[in-house]
Amino acid sequence: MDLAATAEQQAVQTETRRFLAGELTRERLAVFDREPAGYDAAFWRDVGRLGWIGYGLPSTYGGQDASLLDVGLLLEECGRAVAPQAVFDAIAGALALDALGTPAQKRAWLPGVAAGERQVALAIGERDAVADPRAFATVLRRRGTRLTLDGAKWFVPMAATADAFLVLARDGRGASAVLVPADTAGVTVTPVGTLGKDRQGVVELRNVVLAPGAVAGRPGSAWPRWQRLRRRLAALLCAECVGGADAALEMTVRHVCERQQFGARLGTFQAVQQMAAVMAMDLEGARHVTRQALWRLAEGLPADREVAIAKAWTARAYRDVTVLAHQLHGGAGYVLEHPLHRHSLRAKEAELLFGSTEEWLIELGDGLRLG
Amino acid sequence: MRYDYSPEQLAWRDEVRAFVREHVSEALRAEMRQAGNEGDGPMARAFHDALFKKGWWGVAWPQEFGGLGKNAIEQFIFIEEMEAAGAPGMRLSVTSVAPTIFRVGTKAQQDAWLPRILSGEIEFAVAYSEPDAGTDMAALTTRAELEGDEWVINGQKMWNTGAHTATHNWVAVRTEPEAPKHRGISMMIVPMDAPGIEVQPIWTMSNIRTNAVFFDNVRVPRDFLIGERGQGFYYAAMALTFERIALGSVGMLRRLLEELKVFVRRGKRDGVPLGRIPWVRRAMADLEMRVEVGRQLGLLNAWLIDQGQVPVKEGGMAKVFATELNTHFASTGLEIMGLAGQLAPTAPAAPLHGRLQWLYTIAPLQRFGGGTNEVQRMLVATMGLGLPRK
Repeated sequence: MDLAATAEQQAVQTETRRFLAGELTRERLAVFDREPAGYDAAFWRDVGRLGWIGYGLPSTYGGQDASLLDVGLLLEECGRAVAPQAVFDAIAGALALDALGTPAQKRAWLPGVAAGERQVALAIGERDAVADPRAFATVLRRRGTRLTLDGAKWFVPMAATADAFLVLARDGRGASAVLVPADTAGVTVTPVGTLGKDRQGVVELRNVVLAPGAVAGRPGSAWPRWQRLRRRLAALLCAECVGGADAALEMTVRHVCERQQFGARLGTFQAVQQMAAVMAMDLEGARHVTRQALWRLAEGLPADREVAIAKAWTARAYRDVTVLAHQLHGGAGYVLEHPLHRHSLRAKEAELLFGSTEEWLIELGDGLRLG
Repeated sequence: MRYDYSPEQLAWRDEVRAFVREHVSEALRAEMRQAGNEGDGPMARAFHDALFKKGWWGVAWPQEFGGLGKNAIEQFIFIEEMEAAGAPGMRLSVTSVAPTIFRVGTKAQQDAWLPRILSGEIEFAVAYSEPDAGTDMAALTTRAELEGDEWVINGQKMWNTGAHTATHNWVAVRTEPEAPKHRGISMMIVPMDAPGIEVQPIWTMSNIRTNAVFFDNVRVPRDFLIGERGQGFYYAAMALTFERIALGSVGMLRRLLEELKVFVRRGKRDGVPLGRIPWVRRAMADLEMRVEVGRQLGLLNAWLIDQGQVPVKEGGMAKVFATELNTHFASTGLEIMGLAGQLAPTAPAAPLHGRLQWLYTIAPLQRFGGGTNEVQRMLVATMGLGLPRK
């Protein structure tokens, strides 16, 4: 057992934390709130310069070969600072193209993605389907050598800013991953507001004629590969939740150490102390089941069980921590000016993404070979 | 980072596992289920003898005192494997009393007591609580007064489990009545055959026998006071942190979870295999998740100890989480068993030999014992997170 981050991992975390704490002031976040992208151009230039999006990509494509655990530790810091969700989304899109894309697609797209110059967004979910490709309304059709795509993907992250969508479409009895540049004829993007205030949208695909080589991998074979990828992305999302929960607890501790009522600091009241301890317990459990899952994935060890535990526990823990944080902050944490609401909204959304808490419990149960 | 044991740690785990596989028989487990006190029957004693012969009595003790000098993670592995096999628990003499003696005792005291504990010749019960001093241990009133070269002890102890079988008692007494209450307590060794001791049984909800013990002018030699006068409260607190590696372990739950899985795989209700019932699958997954979270907290605590820290926060969290999970686990498991969950452990048809019923009845003790969970959470908040006390 060795639960300590390496010197290099610590350096990345410290540097990231310092950078984000300096940049993401209340005022700056308020500016981001008004931006269609959810961030301003200067921020995204910095993200590119710092190499975050390509951190976990192979160096052959302009990345830094960081392990999934390393990427998770970076995302802990993004979660702590409630950095624009586009950082996570862009990393997820990059890792997805690396996992699912053809060598030609990777050569064409990943260096730009790694540099933060282009974005690839994952387009998986639909209004009425997410976990069974047979239920997808988005369909890939072949007429001779001509490939067309029809349907609509919902809940597409970075919808308004993405340069391409990695679309999972029904293809015969299976699913295919298709890389569709956003400017392809027949593609329409409509932004949709969300609880977590990330920048999702609906991507409509009407008789979209695909370029040769748009299909990533063997046609109809994408679903199992997506399932493996989904586990990796779910574990990364957990890392973001851990950082967020850590921040929510920290600001709560600060608040109850300062705020006075009945002539005493809130933190002296036993009821408050008990709640703070419950928050800390939820968080520490989350931190280590998440890092365990990421470590196993990074080491190439079997991790289905650990990922399911991480996602089922961690997003819920983040949510529970923010619920108690609100209770202990009272009105102070209820105002938009205070960052707490960003955590509590994002936490609930994280519970829904990449498989909900209950869905992961079902998966975990399926793995127990109960019959 | 490495979220797995090192090759050396795995080798140690396999060594412990091989030992318990050889020495924990179904007959021993059956004896432990029947004995009122867990692990107090002849087979349990034989197991402890085997453990002693193996040289594993003092796993955590420094080598200079005849122990193995294992670090906290290795102790965690040892405890987890022992629990996972259903072995009798380690005795407080070994896990609590001896470590205090080799930390604070004089050389003469170490020489006098440690070999006898290590050889299994003497065995301690632990007497901290009193009728009016439970969680508030510093309120204890049992007093010891020095007369010549002897201490004279008067008072009453409660929850003195094992006092009827132990050879000695590890007693917290007030020796400095004028000092502030936390600084007036000393730790004293009292042979159980000393005149003036009366042991009265108290039977508890889990059928474990504990005792009320009365001291009427009980005399012990002056140097039976261990360490410094007036430091007993702090020694007891220190001993509790040694125990927290064990208190925060979910090794037993890992075993019971595997047994519960077997029950679910084999059982049927209304013609439907239990393992196909959605809520049963969901409940089992929930237990799988919680046991893993508890295990991670226990490992975190042990790992921090090995980094030279005194993880009050993580130790407290591990204890609270594991003991509350015991209740949740037992309650959920009994529900999965359905009406059969009611069957007494003595009923041959009782699933898992009634172990979940036993767990359900012992769980309250674990939540309020060893430092009640509310106090643990308070320590997590104040010493761990830095919330103000006043």
